[in-house]
This record gives sequence, C-alpha cells and structure tokens, in this order.
Amino acid sequence: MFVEVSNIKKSYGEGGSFVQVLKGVSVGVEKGEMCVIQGTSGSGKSTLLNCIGGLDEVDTGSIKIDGKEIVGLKGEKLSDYRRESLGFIFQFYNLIPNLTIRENVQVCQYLTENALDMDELLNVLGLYEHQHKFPSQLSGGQQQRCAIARALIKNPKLLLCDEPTGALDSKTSRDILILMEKINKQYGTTMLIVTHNNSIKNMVDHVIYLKDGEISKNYLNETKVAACELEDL
Amino acid sequence: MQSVLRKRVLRDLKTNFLRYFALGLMIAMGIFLVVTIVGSAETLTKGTEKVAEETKLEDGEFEVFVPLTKAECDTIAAKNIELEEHFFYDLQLDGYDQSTVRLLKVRERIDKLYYIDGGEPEKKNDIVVEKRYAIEHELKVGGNFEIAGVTYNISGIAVVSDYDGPQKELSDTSCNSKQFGLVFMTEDAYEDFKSSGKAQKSEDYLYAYRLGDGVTDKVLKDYLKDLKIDASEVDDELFTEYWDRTGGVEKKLRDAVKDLSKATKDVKKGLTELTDNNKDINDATATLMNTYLDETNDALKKNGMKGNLTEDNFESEINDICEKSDNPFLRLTLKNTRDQLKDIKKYKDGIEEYTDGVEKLHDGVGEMSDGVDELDEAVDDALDEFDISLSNLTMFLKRSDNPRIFATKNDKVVDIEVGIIAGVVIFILLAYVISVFVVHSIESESSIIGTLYSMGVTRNDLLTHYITLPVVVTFIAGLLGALIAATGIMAPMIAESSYSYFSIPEFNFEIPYYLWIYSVCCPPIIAVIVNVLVIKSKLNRTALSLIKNEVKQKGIKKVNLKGLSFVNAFRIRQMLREMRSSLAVVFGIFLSLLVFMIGVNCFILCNNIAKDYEADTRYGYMYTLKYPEETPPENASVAYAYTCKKSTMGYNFDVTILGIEKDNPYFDVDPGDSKVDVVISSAFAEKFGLKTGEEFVVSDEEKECKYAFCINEIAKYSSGFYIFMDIDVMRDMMGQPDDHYNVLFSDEKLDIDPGRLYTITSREDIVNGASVFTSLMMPMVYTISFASAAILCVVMYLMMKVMIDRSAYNISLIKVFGYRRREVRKLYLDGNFYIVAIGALICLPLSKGIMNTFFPYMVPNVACGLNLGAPIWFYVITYLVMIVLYFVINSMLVRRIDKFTPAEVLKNRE
Repeated sequence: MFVEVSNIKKSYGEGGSFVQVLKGVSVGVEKGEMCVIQGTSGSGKSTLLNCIGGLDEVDTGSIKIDGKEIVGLKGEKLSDYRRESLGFIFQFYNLIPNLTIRENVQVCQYLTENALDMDELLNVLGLYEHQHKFPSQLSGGQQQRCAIARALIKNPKLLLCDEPTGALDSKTSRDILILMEKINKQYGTTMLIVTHNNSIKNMVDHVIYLKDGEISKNYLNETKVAACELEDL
Repeated sequence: MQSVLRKRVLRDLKTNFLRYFALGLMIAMGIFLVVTIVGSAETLTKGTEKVAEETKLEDGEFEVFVPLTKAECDTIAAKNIELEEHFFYDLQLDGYDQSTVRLLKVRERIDKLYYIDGGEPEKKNDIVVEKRYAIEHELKVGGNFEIAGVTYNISGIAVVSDYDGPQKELSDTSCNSKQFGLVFMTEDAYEDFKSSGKAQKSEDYLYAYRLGDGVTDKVLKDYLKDLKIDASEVDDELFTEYWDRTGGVEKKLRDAVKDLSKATKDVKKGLTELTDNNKDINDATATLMNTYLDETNDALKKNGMKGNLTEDNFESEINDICEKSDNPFLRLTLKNTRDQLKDIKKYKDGIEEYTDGVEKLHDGVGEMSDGVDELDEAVDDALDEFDISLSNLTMFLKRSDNPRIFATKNDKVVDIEVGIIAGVVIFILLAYVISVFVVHSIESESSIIGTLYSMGVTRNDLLTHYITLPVVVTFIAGLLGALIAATGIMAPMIAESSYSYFSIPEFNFEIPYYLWIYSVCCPPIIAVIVNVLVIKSKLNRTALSLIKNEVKQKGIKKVNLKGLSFVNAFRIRQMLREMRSSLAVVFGIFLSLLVFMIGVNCFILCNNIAKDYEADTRYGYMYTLKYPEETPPENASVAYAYTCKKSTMGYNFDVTILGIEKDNPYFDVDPGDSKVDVVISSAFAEKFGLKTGEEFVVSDEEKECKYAFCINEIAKYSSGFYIFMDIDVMRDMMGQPDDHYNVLFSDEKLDIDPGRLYTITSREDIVNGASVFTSLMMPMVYTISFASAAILCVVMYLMMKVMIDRSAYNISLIKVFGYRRREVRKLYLDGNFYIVAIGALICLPLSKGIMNTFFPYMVPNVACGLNLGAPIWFYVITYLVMIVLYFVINSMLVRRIDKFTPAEVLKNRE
C-alpha cells in the first residue's frame, strides 16, 4: 500500500465539548490510485485528509506513506515529508494574491530540485498566456488550475485535494476533473480527493465513505468512467 | 449603532492589548521624557524669573571712572530711575585654589540676595558667600573664610540674579566657580577692607539700575554719556598715564594754540606801536639832514660862494668847489663837511629802510595773527568734532546684553524647543504606526465593514469607531506620561547639570499649564488627524467590494519581475504588498533618526566647539586692555578690537571687528588693505548664514551708526564672531592714532599690571570652557539618544510584526507546502533587511541634513558658530547600530513566525 492508515483516532475539545472525529479509521490506497473520500458534513473526511497531510496530529494510530511512518513527525522532519511527498489543492485555491500565476507556482517549484518543466506545465493547464497575471485577474477555474499547477510542479507522490471543485461551476469543475485525470495518467500521481460531489466517485479507482468518524464503505470502482463523461457535476 | 460598535472597541483593545500597550507605553514614555525635559527647563526658567522678580533684578548696570555725585544721582532719580551702588573689589586669595573673590556690600534694593542657607550678616565680620563658589570650596554657614588676613564668619549662602551665570568677566566663555565667586560683606567690613590698603586693584564703581515706568535704558545712557569729568579726578595712576598720552593731549593742543594766538597778538601790538613812530624817526633824520645842509649853504654864502647844496647834489657841488679853490684850508673843511653830509644821508636812508621793514613786519604779523585765530577756531572745532573729552561712563550694559543674567533661562531655551519638537515628531510617528494597525484591522474586517455598510451604517460611524481606540489610547498614554512626569521622578537628573553650573536655587519641579495641554491634547489630536487621513481612503470602497474583500493589485504592485529569481521576486512582492508597513518602518527610521539627530547635533555642536576652539586658538593668552602701555611688550602681537552688534533670529550678538597685523602669527588670515572687503570668521559665517561675496551690516550701538562690509573670504576660526581687518586700516577707519591697540596676543604669559586689563583669556580657559558645554548637554543627549533608539526598536518591531501578522495565512500556507523555518524567514523576514538597510542608508544623511537646516532655529540664542559636521565614523557606527537593532528585532520575530502553524490554513477554510 502506498498510503496505509491504521486505526487512527482523532478528537477535539474537552469535557462537554469533546468530539471524537475519527474513531479508529484504517484504510489503504495503492500507488497511482485516484481515491475519493466522501461523507456528510462532520463525518471526519477533511480531518482524515489533514492527518494524512501532516496538517493535523492524530491521537493514536499509524499513517505510513510509501512505507514511511509520519505520525509523530515534528518540525523540520514533518516539513520535509510534505515538501518531498505531498501536493495540496484547496477548495478556495489559496493562491498568494500578490504573486503572479507563475510566481505562485514557483512557490512550490522552489522546494524541489526535480521540478517539472514550468512552461510545459503551464501550457498543459492552459495558463501559459496568463502566467504574469495576478490571481485577482483570473476566473475561479483558472485560479484552481494555478493551484493544481502549484501542487504538481514538484511532482508529488501524493496529491491531497480538499473539495477541489467546491467553489466552481459545473463546466469548470468538469475541466478541472479532466485535468486531474490527465495528470494522474500522465504522471502516475496518487490522489486523495475529499468531496461532497457524488459524481466524482464515478471517475476514480477507489471510493471511501466516512460516517461519524468511521469508514462505512470502502471499495474499488470497477465501473469507472472518464471525467468528461461525468454527469450532474 | 455607536454603542454596539463601542463594545467592539473594548474587545479590539482586549485582543490587541499587547500591541496597544506597547504603543501606549511609547507615547507615555515620550510624553514623560518631553514633559520632564521641557518641564525641568520651564521650572528653571520660571524659577529664575521668580527669584529675579523677588530680588528685584536690575534692568541694567553701568560703571564709571569716578562715583556719581549726589546731584547726578538726584538727577537720575528724578528721571524715575532707581540706582544702587554695587561697587566691588576683585581679590585673588592665597588659599582656596588661588581663586578670585569679588567683594561687594550686601545689596539692599536691587539684585538682592536670595538665601539658600543661613541669612544676612548680623555682625560686622559676617559674610554671605555665593552658592556655587561655596559648594566648590566646601564652605558652610557658620564656617570661617579668610580674606586678606581677616577671618570672616559665613552667615549665609546665597545667589544673586545678576550672577545667575557666575562668570568673572562678561567676555568669559564659561563659568568656573572653582576660580571665581562672590562674597557679600557688611558696609563696615567693606569700608575696613577699602581702607586696609590690601586691595590688589582699584575699586570698580558699578551701579545697578531699575527703570521706572516708561523710562528706557537709552534715557539713562544718554545722560551718563554726557557726564564729563576732569581726568585729574580719576584716582587711578594707570588711567592717568594712559590719559596723558591719549585723550589728555587734546588739552595741551588747545592750550598751545591759544598761547600762540596770544603771543602773536602781543607781537602785532608791539609792532603797531613801533610802526606808529616811523614818521617821527624819518622826520627827525630829514630835519637833521636839512639843518646840516642849511648850515653848510650859509657858510658857503658867507665865503662868497653860491650855497645851493641839496641832499642830492651836495657831494658833486662840494667836489667842484674844492677843485676850483686854491685855499687848502677851505678844501679840507669842505671835504670834512662833505663826508659828514654823506654819513648823515646814509643814516637817513637806513632809517627809512628800517621804518619800511617795520611797516612790512607789522603787516605780516597782522596776517599771522588772523591766521592763528583761524587755527585756534579750527583746532577747537576739530577737537570738538572728535569729542576727546572724558566721559565718566566706562561701561553700560542693558539686562538683555548681560550674559550673566538669565544664563540658565537662555541655556534652557534649547531644551524647551528641542523637547517640544521631538515630542511632536514622535507623536506623528506613533500615530502613523497606530494607523497601520487600524488599516490592518479594516482590511481583515473588510467583509464585516461591507456588511455593516449594506445595513446602512455610515462611513462617519465607522470612521468614528476606528479612530476611537487610537484616540483613547493616545489620550490615556499622554495623560499617564504627564502624571508620571509630574511626580518629578527624573527631573533632578535632568536638572542636575544646570544646578552644578549655574548659581541658582534648587526649584520644585513644576509642569506649566501649556505642557499639560500639550501632553493631553497633542497625542490624540495628531492621532485623529493621521488616522482620519489614512482610514478615510480605506473606507471609500463600495459595500460589495468590501464584502468580497477584493484584493486588487494596483499601480506599482503590478510591476513585472520576470528576470528576477524566485526568492528576490517574492521578497519584492512582499515589500510591495507591505508597502504601508514598509513605509512606516522607513518613516520610523527617518523620524527616530530625526529625533536622534537633535541629540546628536547638540553633542556634535558642543564637541566641535571644544575641538575647533582648541585647534583654532593658537595664542596662549589674549589680553584685553583697559589702559594699554605706550610701547607694547616685545613678545606680544598687538591688535585693535572694536565690538559691534548684529541680530539674528531675535537675538543680538557681539561681533568684534579685529584689526590685526599682517604678520600676526595667531590668525591664519590675510586681512588685506580694504576697509570694505573683509575676512570674517567661520563661526560668524555659520551663525549668520553668510557667504563669500555677500554684504552685511553690523551696528555700533555706542556711536549709533552702522558699518557695512563685503565678505572677501571666510577664515576658519571658530572661537568668536570676528571681522578681520588690517590694524592700520582699522585705526584709520576708526580715527585712532597710528600706534593704537587694545588687545595683545602672546604665547607666553605677559607681565602686565592687572590694573591695565579688562580681561586675560588663556587658551586653556577657552578649551576648558568649551568642554563645559558638552557636559551640560550630555543628559539631554543621552535621553534623546535612548528615546530615539527605543522609538526605532518599537516601530521596527511593531511594523515588522504587522507585516508578519498580515502574512500569517500565507506563511501557514507555505509551511503546508513544506517550507522550513529558515526558508520562511528568508522569504518573509530577510527581505525587511533590505528595507531597513536601504532605508537607513537614505534616512541617515537625509535626517542629518534636515536637522542641520533646522537646528539653528532650535538654538537661536547660542553665541557660537554652528559647525554641525560629523565625522564619517559617526555615520558608520550609527548605521551599524541600526542594523544590529534590526537583527535583534528580527530574531525576536522569528519566534513569531514559528507560531504560525499549517493549521491556520484550515482555520481560514473553516
């Protein structure tokens, strides 16, 4: 397993406000898989993603990425894990507003010596002609493409996507998903996608459902369709 | 709505308590320092003014050759002018550091004693000693003090307002209470001393005066100038000797011309009488001639000859008769007669020539007498024109021209102006810093503001809301600062240097009303102005724009940085994004440097004065002479000094026209031969802003005229305001004799009778006096330097912290991407180094230049050149200190960066 999550538990608060968000979740994702994590609001899907991304600490349990334990990593080692292994895509793009598109992508390019070719990537994502514009000068879809470019530039082993189409209209969402599918195929990037969107599960290899902090469904999608064929996005 | 918003103000204060506390603390500290410095200066100023009023400070003083007569005193009193004798003796003591004490009678009406300890003398040999001298020589009330072999009991320690700055001579550059002090004696003790014969110099007849309503100094001066005395009345041998050589020559000249006139008249009279007898003499000789001719003719006729001899033909007629006659006896008789007639004729001709000569002499003496009369009149007119008559007045000094009076007050003018200006500069900076916080709040609360707008809240409501906290914080901070200052906790430290230099009582620290108003009103008013200006534009956006929190890159922020490396491009983007904070940092650097430069300029000025005085004073001794010797000492260089006045910025300064010899070794000046094109000292040029080629005018208050000069050259000379001329040219210009001089310069100490001197100024006195200024200024210099460093640190810390806080989300984000601590610092903090480094590089010379321009207006009363040039090492060290301070603050802020975790990104999302 490329991603190996074993019996992780995560809680917030104390006393009356104590909430057990993850109640012993165990799951595995193979290398190169596109995996969707779905669930209702508060089910713990984002918490699971954050724990895998090292953004949040688990109470107990183990998370191994490519065989390497990340639970318990602190400071520089945790930073190294993220810079070497991960790419992040957020719902609201989280671009740095005072940097141009190219500079935003360079933020992550700077972190690796084996970065993908910037111009090629921007071309692939249809951003080449916009590379010297600022985020506020682009549409939501273009901004999300930029966020994807930023995540991909360092050619991460694992791409963590938190509601990547959550702020986009259906056409733009489809474009983004097609792009992600293309990247997955082209670079063999493992993707963990947290989404509310029920259609996305149809284009991925692996579907995980969370309910009240526990895995309610975990299956491989045998009837996977191309992103361009997705409906009701 | 305001009541609801007001609750937010409290919450905002609670949330950002540390930030506002730090700012409030800075303002309170600023006010505390300003109030302490200015308050101390005002306390000393008002205190000395109050003492002056209580002790009836003189309006001026004057000195005379001989004491005024009762009639003269009565005339002055009739002019509504009060006089008091302040006669004194200067006596150099054997003990007490060989110091000189000025012995005076206890004053009763003018410049009365203000007792610090003890009281007025009760017994004959009780004395009162001036405070500073008493301290320097550890004299206490009840102790003894020996003067000229007599032991006196010290009944009191006191100060007098006419010796606020207790300098021995008016021309002294500083006070030295180790070497000079005042001793006040009872009238009987003073008279005893006077009659003891132990005085080393003659008594100085000084009078202090107070003018009645509407009476001016000029009225008294004009009256005194007209009081002429006979030189023989002056009981000073040195004066008499000098007078006989100079002013006394006038009488001799007048007398000699009068004698000549009289003698000429006598001669003329005698000659007139002589001339009157000419006719009688001529007639008598003619009669003698004719009688002898008649007798001869009669004798010839008796002997049968014609007898027609005349005065013209007697010789030829007698010769003819003798040739024709055979009678030898007749021939002999006729020849004798002929010779006698010839002698009589010769005598007659001689008498006629003599009487003609006498006639001519008479006419000539008559003309000469008229000429001598004209000479007499002309000499009288000429001498009257030059007025060489001896005026009794030797010195007249208005209160405002007396450097001893209100010396403390004049010294404190600098503190007051510097303190007030420095305070305003600090408040503007801190108000701007606050406005940066407020803008940060507005930007982060953009959507809330937009929502409030959409609900109908007006811009003025929000403006009021956002300026409430800055105004309240600055108001409370100002009030607190003033209240703490009012306790006087630091005032003694600030005032210490004044108390240990000037002869003044110690006053209770008091804050004048205007300082309370300044402290309480100035910070909030500046906060309102700055914040309204800054916030207004921020609140000008539409409700929708605010709700969406649209961040548009505008103007310079859109600059293309294609060619730059990522790190450099990122840093520049960050700087552009944080332009306001960056500007605040640079502004902070600039203003704190500006405040620093106030202190620095005070220090540099004093330091340069000490250094330049030492370098420029080449003579060992300068003697200003009251009665110069006829022949100057061989080992001295003579000069002729004449003091005029020139005003600048409301202050009237002494400017000395100094006539020097061309080969004078003590001044590196070629005075030329012109009366108009002159060389001036650099100190004069600096103080009055004069340049080569410019024309200027100085006033001669004594003669009530003005002299205009053109600057030919500015010579480097710091120790005084001088106009250099060739001594001969100056003597000619001032109508003085060819050998006139009144100043001597020498390397060695000269053996000159003290009675001939006004002052001796040694190089050591000048150098030591100059260094006194440095020690006087140091408390203020330290305070200002500390305050400016504190301002720089606080502003730099707060602004760089704001920059980081505003980037908190982005810092978290890049941490999510795997940025390490060092890399985050490199992107978000290290870029600030360039702001600070470049900002400091620009601001350092800029602030110095600006302060150099304005500094003369802060020290308008200082009578010296304003050499504010700083050595290069000063700039290097100041720059390095700023960089070190930056690194200290940077290291503190690294910890702040560490506090931002990747989880911040999640919070924002949620």
